[in-house]
Amino acid sequence: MKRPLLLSLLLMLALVGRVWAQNRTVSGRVIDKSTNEGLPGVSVIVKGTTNGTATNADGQYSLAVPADATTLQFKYLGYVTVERPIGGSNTIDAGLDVDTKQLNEVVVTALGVPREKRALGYATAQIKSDQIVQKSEPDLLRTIAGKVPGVAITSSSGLPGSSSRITIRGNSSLLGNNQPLFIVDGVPYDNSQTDSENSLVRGAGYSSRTADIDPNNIADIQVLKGAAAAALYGSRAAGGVIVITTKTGGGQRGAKGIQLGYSTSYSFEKVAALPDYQNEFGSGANGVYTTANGSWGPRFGSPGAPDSIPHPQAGNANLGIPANAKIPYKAYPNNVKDYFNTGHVYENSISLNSTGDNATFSAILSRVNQVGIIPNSGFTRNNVSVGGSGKYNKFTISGTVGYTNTEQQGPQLGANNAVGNATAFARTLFMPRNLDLQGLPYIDPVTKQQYFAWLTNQADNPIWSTENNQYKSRVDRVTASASLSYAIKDYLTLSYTGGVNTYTDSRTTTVRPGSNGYGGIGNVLEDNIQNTELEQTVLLSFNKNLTEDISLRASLGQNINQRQQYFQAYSGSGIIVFGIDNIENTEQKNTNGYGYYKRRLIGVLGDLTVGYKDFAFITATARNDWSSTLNKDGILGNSGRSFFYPSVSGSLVVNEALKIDAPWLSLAKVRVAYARVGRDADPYVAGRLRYGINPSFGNPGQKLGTEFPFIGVTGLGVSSVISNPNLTPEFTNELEVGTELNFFKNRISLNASYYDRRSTAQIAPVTITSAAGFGFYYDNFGEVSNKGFEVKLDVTPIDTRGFRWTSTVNFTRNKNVVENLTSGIDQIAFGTSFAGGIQSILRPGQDYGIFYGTRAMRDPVSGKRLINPVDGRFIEDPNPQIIGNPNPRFLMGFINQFTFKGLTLGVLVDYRHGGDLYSTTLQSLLGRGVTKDTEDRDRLIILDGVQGDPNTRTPVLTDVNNPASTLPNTTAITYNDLYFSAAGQGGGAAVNSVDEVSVYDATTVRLREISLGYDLPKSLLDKTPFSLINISLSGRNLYWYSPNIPKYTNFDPETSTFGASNQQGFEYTNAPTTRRYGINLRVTF
Amino acid sequence: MRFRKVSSALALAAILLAAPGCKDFFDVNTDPLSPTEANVVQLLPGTQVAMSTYLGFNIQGLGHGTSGYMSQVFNGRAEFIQAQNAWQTPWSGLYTDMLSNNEIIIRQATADASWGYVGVAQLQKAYVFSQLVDAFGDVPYSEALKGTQGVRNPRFDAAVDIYNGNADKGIQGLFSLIDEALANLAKPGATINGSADIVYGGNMSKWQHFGQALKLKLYNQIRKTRDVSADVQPLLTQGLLNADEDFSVGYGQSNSPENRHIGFLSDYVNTPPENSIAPYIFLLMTYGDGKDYAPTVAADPDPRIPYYFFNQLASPGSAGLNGFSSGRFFTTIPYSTDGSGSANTGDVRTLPGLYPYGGRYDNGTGIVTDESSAPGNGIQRLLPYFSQKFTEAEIQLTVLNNPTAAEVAYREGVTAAFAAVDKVASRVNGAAPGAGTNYINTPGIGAPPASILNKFANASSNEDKLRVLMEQKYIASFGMGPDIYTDFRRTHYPVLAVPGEVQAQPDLGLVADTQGGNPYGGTNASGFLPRRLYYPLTDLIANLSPEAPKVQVQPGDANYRIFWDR
Repeated sequence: MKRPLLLSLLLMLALVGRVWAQNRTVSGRVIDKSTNEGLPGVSVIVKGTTNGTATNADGQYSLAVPADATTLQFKYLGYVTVERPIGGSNTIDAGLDVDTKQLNEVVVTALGVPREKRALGYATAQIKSDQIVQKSEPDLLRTIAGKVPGVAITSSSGLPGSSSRITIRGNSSLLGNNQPLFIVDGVPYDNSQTDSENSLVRGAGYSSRTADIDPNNIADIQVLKGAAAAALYGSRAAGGVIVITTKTGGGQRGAKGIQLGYSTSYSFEKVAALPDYQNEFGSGANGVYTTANGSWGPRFGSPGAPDSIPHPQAGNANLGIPANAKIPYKAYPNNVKDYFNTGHVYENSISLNSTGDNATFSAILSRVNQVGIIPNSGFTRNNVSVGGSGKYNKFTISGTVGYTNTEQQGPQLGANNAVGNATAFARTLFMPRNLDLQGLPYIDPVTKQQYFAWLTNQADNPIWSTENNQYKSRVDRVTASASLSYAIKDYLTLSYTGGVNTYTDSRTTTVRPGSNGYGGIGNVLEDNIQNTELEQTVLLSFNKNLTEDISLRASLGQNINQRQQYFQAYSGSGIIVFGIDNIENTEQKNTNGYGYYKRRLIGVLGDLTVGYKDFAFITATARNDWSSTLNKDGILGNSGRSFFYPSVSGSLVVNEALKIDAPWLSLAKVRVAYARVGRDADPYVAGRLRYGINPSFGNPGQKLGTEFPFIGVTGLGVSSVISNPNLTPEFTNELEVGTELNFFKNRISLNASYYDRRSTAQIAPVTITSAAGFGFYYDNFGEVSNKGFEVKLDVTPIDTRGFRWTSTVNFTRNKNVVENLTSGIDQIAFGTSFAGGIQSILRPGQDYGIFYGTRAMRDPVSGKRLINPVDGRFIEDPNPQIIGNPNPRFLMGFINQFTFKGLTLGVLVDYRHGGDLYSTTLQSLLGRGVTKDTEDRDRLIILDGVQGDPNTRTPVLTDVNNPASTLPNTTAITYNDLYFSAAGQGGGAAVNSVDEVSVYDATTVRLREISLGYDLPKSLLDKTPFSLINISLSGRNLYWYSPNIPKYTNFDPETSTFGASNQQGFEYTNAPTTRRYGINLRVTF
Repeated sequence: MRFRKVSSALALAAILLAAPGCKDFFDVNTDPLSPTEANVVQLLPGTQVAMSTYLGFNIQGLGHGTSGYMSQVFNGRAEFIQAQNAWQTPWSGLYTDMLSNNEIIIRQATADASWGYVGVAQLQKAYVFSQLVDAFGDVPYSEALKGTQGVRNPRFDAAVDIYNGNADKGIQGLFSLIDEALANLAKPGATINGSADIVYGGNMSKWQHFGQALKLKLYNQIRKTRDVSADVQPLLTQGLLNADEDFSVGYGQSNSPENRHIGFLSDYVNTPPENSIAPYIFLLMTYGDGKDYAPTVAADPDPRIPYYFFNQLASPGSAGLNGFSSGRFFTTIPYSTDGSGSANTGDVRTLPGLYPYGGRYDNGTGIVTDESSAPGNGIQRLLPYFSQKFTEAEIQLTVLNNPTAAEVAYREGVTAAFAAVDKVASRVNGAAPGAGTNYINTPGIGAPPASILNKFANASSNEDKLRVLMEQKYIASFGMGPDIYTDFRRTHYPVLAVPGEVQAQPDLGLVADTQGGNPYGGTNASGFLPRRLYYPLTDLIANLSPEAPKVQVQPGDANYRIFWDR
């Protein structure tokens, strides 16, 4: 700890001011003209000097001035600076106007420090509260989608409470967390997603924990995108930072007195779209009726079609169905549609704000109740937050306490072909067209087992599954933070912010007996997760004009963080009494894994901004961290390694610097920043080799393995991971240049950035040959780069006679490349995949997380696929290849807002260009022949390609010396065979084919959000207790068009089976997305 | 004064910082829930269960795929055209879960002079490496298992060097390793904790017998490469396994923690079942002759059939599905082209029964199985007594040219194979009954019938005797895929074929169901029978040693056949 102290001393020395001779005292009060309230913290300066003071909580000041002083300046961030002559009077009052000009906009930067936007040398983006509330969307992250350039948000599914993934400027870590750091009222907010089960096999719509944030309580969101903006946050800032200030935590002053607000919203929720199903053909294969899952049977009513088929549960005594029972062979056009319900989202929020002379108090109470489209799915969030602030002389104290309770429930998910799954979507969207889901028995009245017509043995009946296989989670979270500041001098403030953010997550995952999952005897999993984060920052801030032209703002601080997580899991199998989902109600109980970590970090940080004449600014920041997860000098057990990272940024308001006084040019600012941020390791990977207690072998999670204790014998097994005491921090270096241009009094403004960030010395496990006895070795290696543009263009095309149209275009282009890995490592696979199945990989020179899987062999000359002339199918390449890239080429958002009198119409359309999706739902919709895409099927197909030899996997050549002498494929196959191949038979266009055919370009244009609001005129409200009444209609995800998705599937490609994890672009029979229509009311008393 | 209040407030708030010294503050990087040391008693049981898992008859092991190659079962894992990572799980499981811990035992026990543990772990190591060589050929051996000592790219040693040793390359051969193990076991005070030893309960003489039996097996394995008569003769006369000394792992009934045989889990617990029964083994056991079967030959069913296979169908037939049907026995090839998908036959097709992993005994009444149909507490046989007896018979017949002694060993082997069925039957019988009934009421299968016992003597030639011998070993070894696959490559027996089809040759492989229009003619695989298994692609990529292969060994390669495969 000696070095941090020394650093502080050095910086302190730089802050010493000068002493002035004074001989007269003036005093007065400074008010906000709009509210007539006293303004605290206004700088009162004798013009041309650095002599000055700041107003107190009530706006009062008192200042000794030299006899020759002539003018007083009143400066406050966000307000227009005012000058008053010093005349004979000793009382000088001033009223300040809020500065409406965007160029003086104040934004919250790192560590909550408000700064003039013009002084920033890097890009930030602000999202205001009205952009996220009452949009028929209870999930905070999803409300941001499309609104900020540089930010990519993917929602995982339409299940209530399911996670969303957010990345800013791409993935900077090979295998670590790539989501930004969330800071809520000064305290970090863990946004990780913890899975109770493997999402590929089972799993559910797990939440990421920003689900606990109540959008109703958000005052302001600042997105700090680049390394320069985020550098002061240190080790977790490599993915950017999202700083959220809540209404209760901001300590903001409102109008004097007490203000009561109430808002409510009610939205209907529907499945976003279902495929256009064909209703001509029932189950079977190649036109012959069988009890198959595929709808490739005979045409209904055709000569080859049966009139009726045996009842699938014929002869079942429990159901009382006679042995000779028959059911008609006909289409049930609504068998899928009727499975879904109409859901709703019902939000209520009451807020109270009280602002007095020296204190503020606010409280908010909200509840969201969401009922999903899938039976038995829902999400409830209750939130209570209170906050207050007070000023006493030179003290300012504020604090906030919040409690959130979220409850989530939903169906089981997972890939439909995974062994032992119990997913509700194994067959739902592509079950046979003649399967009467609603009319046939789905549960045995005696045994309670599920029946799913003739598919009983393949998959759980979706109705039974949603009734009986449930995932439930209850989170209780408490956040508390307090801050305290003391103005030592008017230009020197010492402040402290500290807080705690802790939650417990209790989960139950139940598969009731009678399911296909877990062997049909029922299973209960219970997980208890406890997560606690403590954070505190002490900051000494200096803010003074050194001369009339030169301003200095500096701060020096120390930050301490501790994160701790503990989780315990239990499983019970063999449910005794059907319907009681408690682990006590099981025959055999066992623990089901555990996890624990604790990590600590100390940082010392400083920043310094020098401004010249309010048009040129240069900022330098520095932070040094000591982390418990890395070792000093690489010595095992000697934790607390130090690492340092600086940043420097500058901005220049060109039009003011060059004194360009063109009426059309309001602002021309250029900025440049270079920064470095570090990142420590995960706990224990730099520690000792570990052993696991009671190891398991095989795949016990999927009921395909063996667990210890083994017949009463306990054991230990060595970890497959070799830890590395020599690990050093990861570093991300980023160069960012940008410009902000405002024209025609800000009617047009353009904010553009280009960045080039490189993340090196990545901490990641290297896959080593298991013959070395271990699977992984932790090391520093590799480099990931992100280069991209972000552009935000705001235009106000019309602003006349009360009608105003504002339009915003956001553009995001990020190229995320794995530059290199360690020598000899060709690629790294990550995430979850089936053995031999499609994977996500990292390969040097390629984009992050590309798909690696099977594809058809190609003719080296023409690049066409090789076809086996005997069976007319693809010849598979025995070596997996790169077959897709989930990263979109660019993202765009078009936001248009029209206001007229009290009426406001907002429309958000976003566009995603490129980015691939591997989808087994699409594969199955085609492969099972259920949509209109495959209705016109009475014909043969010749796959496009050239003839190949299936043994040599080379093209058939008519002239052996001429590699171009290939023959086009002429072998026809049936439409059925095209979409459904038997395994090992060679591929077609969907099921059991090569992976590449199920990779689709997810380019989509989407009408994401629309809202129409009306503020009742003030004249109407005058006689009522209301000061504001706003009624609005909102709609969400109302339309999308994905040109490269099979037409009649109407499939929404914004989906992700692996939720908030780094593995993106995979959809394994996930729950479908939703569409909402809402009505909202907001009143203020 | 005001300032003092401030400082005390700040001091209170900064309690995290103030509390201990920096050293203590950062001293949290030790996982409190995971030990960083383990003793040999704690490590041994895991190595044994891992060995059984990754060599055994289950999806995670080598067993399912190799049993599929050998027409005992059909499953989705037995592709003749091997997927690049087809064998990754057993390969990495054997190295990281089994051998890695086993090596720690050897190192720690050597340091502590715990010679019992050293010897046992060395025998386990020799056994597992012999299996790896038999399956994969050249594998990392002398430089393997040293990841924590900085050797992360071990070279591959030649298969022949692993068996026989190579002093120039510093490779201790398996025979030498076994000898060293036996010497360690013979040291005074060489004991191990009985409760830690799932295989032999700490009985050192059983371990010694196993060491001798393993040596005998390995000499038999390489008998075509050199004259091993001098090596095997002393082994045949002393210290081999006794009848109750199967080298095997017995499973339990608990499902939480999961202690049941994993093969049982994949067929009875998970839906749909993994395996179908290949017609070949059923026909061989029904008609007693895997070579000349014709529908006109009278059936002479092996009494073990109801212990081997469980017919879910309640009455004879085929449930209206295409496939192979004989009485209540019904099977179909997964994903076959005859229109019957695998999933739909899950509740009608015949499954592996009681013998391979503690599944259901077929008492003549079919039921749709689920996990309560049987206890799953079977035995994974690795080197059972009967296998040693059949090896003795093979050595007597081929190496020592003594058909008389071979016949004695053959009869003992068949008798032991029947006893092995009884052993599982009584285990299952003793299990807590599921679904309200006992699993099996008649555990006694009795002595083998004369027709089987006399078959060897009745065979016309030594070659024919070898066929009979290998057929019986093949039947007895149901659920021991790797050894059957190895035996087939060495002896080309049994002749895997079915009526009306060209007999499969070891070089040709089996006829795929897509060829010849026969829906049950062979396996669902096509192409030639692999003579060795593919290395996992991930390992080919990850191992940077210049003495490690970069691509799979292909049929044209001189090294394609493992050195004993002649």
